[in-house]
Amino acid sequence: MMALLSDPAKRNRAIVVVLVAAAAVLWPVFTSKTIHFYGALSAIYALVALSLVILAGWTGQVSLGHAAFLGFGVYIGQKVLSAGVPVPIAVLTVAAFGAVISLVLGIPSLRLRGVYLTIVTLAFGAACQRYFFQLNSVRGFRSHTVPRPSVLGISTASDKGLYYVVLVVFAVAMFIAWNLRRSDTGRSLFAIRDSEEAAQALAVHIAPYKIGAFALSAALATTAGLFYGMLYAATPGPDQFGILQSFFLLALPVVGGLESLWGAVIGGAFLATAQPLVNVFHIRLFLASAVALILVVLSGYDGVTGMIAALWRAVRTAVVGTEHVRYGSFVPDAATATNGNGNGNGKAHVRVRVLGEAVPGTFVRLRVHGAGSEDDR
Amino acid sequence: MTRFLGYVVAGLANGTIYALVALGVVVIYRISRVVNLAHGAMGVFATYCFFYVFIGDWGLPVAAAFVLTLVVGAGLGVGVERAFVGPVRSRGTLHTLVMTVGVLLLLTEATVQFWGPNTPPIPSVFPDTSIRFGGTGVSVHQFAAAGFVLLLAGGLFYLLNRTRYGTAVEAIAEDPGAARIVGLPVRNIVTVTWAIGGASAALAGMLYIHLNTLDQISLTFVLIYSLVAAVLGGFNSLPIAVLGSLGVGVTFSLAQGYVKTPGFAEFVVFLALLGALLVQQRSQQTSLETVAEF
Amino acid sequence: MNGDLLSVRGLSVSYGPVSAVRNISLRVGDGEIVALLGPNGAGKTSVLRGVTGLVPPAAGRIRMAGHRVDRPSRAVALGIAHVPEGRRVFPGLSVRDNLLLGGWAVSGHRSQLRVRQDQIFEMFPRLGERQSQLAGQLSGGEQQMLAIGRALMTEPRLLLIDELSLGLAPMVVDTLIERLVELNGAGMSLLLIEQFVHRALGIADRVYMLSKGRVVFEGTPDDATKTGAVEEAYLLGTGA
Repeated sequence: MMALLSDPAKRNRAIVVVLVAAAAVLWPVFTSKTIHFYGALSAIYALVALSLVILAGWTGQVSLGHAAFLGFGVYIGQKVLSAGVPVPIAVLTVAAFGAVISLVLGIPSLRLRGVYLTIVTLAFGAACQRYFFQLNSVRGFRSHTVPRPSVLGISTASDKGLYYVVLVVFAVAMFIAWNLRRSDTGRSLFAIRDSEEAAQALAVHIAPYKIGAFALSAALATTAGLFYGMLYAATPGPDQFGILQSFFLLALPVVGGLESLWGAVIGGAFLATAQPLVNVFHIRLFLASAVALILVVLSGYDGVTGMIAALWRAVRTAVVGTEHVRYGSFVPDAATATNGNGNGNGKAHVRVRVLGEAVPGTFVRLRVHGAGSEDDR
Repeated sequence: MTRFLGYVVAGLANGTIYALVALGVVVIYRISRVVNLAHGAMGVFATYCFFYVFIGDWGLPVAAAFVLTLVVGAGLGVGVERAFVGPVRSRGTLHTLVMTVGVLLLLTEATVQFWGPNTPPIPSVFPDTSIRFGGTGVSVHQFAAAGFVLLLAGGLFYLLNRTRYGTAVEAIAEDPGAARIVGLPVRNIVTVTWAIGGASAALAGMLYIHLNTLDQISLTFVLIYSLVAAVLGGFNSLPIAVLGSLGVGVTFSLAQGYVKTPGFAEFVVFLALLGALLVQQRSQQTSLETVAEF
Repeated sequence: MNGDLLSVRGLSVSYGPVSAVRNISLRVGDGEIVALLGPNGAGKTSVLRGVTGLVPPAAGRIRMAGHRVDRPSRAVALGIAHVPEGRRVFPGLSVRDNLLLGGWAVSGHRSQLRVRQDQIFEMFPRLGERQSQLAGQLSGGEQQMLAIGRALMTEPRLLLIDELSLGLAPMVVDTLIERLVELNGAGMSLLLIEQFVHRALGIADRVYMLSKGRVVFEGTPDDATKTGAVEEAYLLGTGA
């Protein structure tokens, strides 16, 4: 606790976490039922966004089949819940189901160098939309009712109750992801991912971690599906979980920020605000998401998270003056630059990625090629 | 037996469209090292222009509209490169790929926004007469589609594998900065190559009709089938892209013909992709070993 | 000043908000070897990038034999060839194709290119032996030969060389320098960046010392040694 208070950066972060958490818990008290529905939906989408952030963060790849995982969560979840299984067990069941499917997709594709996971998940999404989900054993041609049993004493009959349940699940998932990220493995994977050459050379050796990250990602997405079904109390048709939906789902974490766990929170919040907005202006939600995705990628920032961080840094630099970069995985230019931004290069483009907390009290002085970094950048 | 032959012929005909898409994907990969996931959406957008704007609004004859649509496709290719893909390429594979997804979603949604969620009856430039062949009729349109594939595949193979232009394409893909240092007209070569890719997407859109009616997402599904072939050839080989596409077409057609469960063919394509990945895995291992010798 | 082959006036190069080179002027005379020295980060590479237009200069006027240079293809057409830092050969192309592309900007005739290619093989027999191998499979020294050869395909009047000896064995560097001096003897001008200061001083006619993006010394190698400009620039640059 003392360490937390003595380190300003850590303290600031803790304050932000507490504020955001308080806002997430308190807002339903002041709002109407319609908004509760969108709130619950946003929390579910935030869970999907988190699953994609984990995947992108650990593998450097994206999935275009996450709507299919969501769909499996809905359909399998409906069967499990209808059988009277309590929600926590149902969560574990669908999560395990998602993880197992992910292995079928991940093992052949993640051992390869290249974007094969994206392609195989896309084909998987198509096969689900047009084949698996049409099977009577999965969904068939009729919508089924999804029960909404209470969870550990919390009633999910109202959207507000369901929202709180999803919020707890999301918080637990965030905590797990946060811990994995700051583990040694997480940090070294990040470093390797940042250097495309190293990532290629070590593709085979780091494949198990990537496959594991994908399994976790898939498990979270199917879990989100379980709650999605509960929210709608029905099993929507296969086209609701088709490839177009997967493209849309990808837009959420990209707009939020693919490199930070905050991206998932902001991605979910983006949906919560975008949905009512597009309804007012009569624009298609997917069209708006596509535009937002493109603008964010073109901006060069890591989503809205990256923009906020940059703004914060600018404000702080203006107020305090200097800036200390803490705990970067330092990959020298010569290693990161595939296009030969080698020695020289104006010396300005040293990439430093802050990975999260390391040992408290360690400060790294950034020196560039031995030259004074303050003025000779 | 005639039934089998019929499926094979139909599959080959369908495979020509997959091949057209695969060729476009490979060409764009060769210059920009990105799997252009927006390829199908580009084709659909151009083809909707063909039907709604050039024929519908402007009342052009089909042949003129056909040519104009190829130009639109080329323009789309150039535009997508200039505005979206080019600016983010230096930021790595992940961002570039995500960008193509954004463009895919944008174009697909724009198509719906402009023209509604309809499936227009796209006319063919070619006569509808049919030639009996192995128990099934093959239309002139289908023959023409095959002709286009042969022409495009041959032309691209010559251009990319046998000329100095193709060497420059490879150089630009490997290191655009060095290509500029050497004095290559990088901008022009990138533009021309994407224009070819875009035009091939438009062509695939206009010829798609013998598969099915064209909706907003049709060609993106075709893109998936084409990717199986492209993966087999490591996104690099034009002949494998064409032959693989024909193979996928036949497999798809047989699966659809013999197994009546809806969408079963889609499942088979997914399995084929997993198979292609295993093949790719083997070839990557071999290439790694080759490098290790030096 | 009209006798200058390359004249650079008031060149500034920035990368986004960061300025790497500020208001630099330099010249290379016909047949001269000019060395551009300075500690890492002084902005040497940025000067070369600004000269060819690879990074569009924030300010400054660059003239090659009296003509304006504004982009790399124009630079090549005017007779400037650039051997970039880190060699930057095309690893997936054969030695022959690397050379072929080097000549793209100046000639369309394959026969003409082949003649030039043979001259380069004569100059660097190692390249000739390995002409159908992929450039990525060559050793560092061979790649540097290829990078020089690729630049020479345009028959330039001025060769810009960035870090000739980076990561190469001393013996290889000796050979390369020998070739460069021969080229100079045949009339080609050189502007080179070199981390081994004394090597560069040994062959240069004139020297520019850069520090923190500015020219801090200009003169002959002898003056540079005598006045202590070398030590000063390097010490200043390291901030010690």
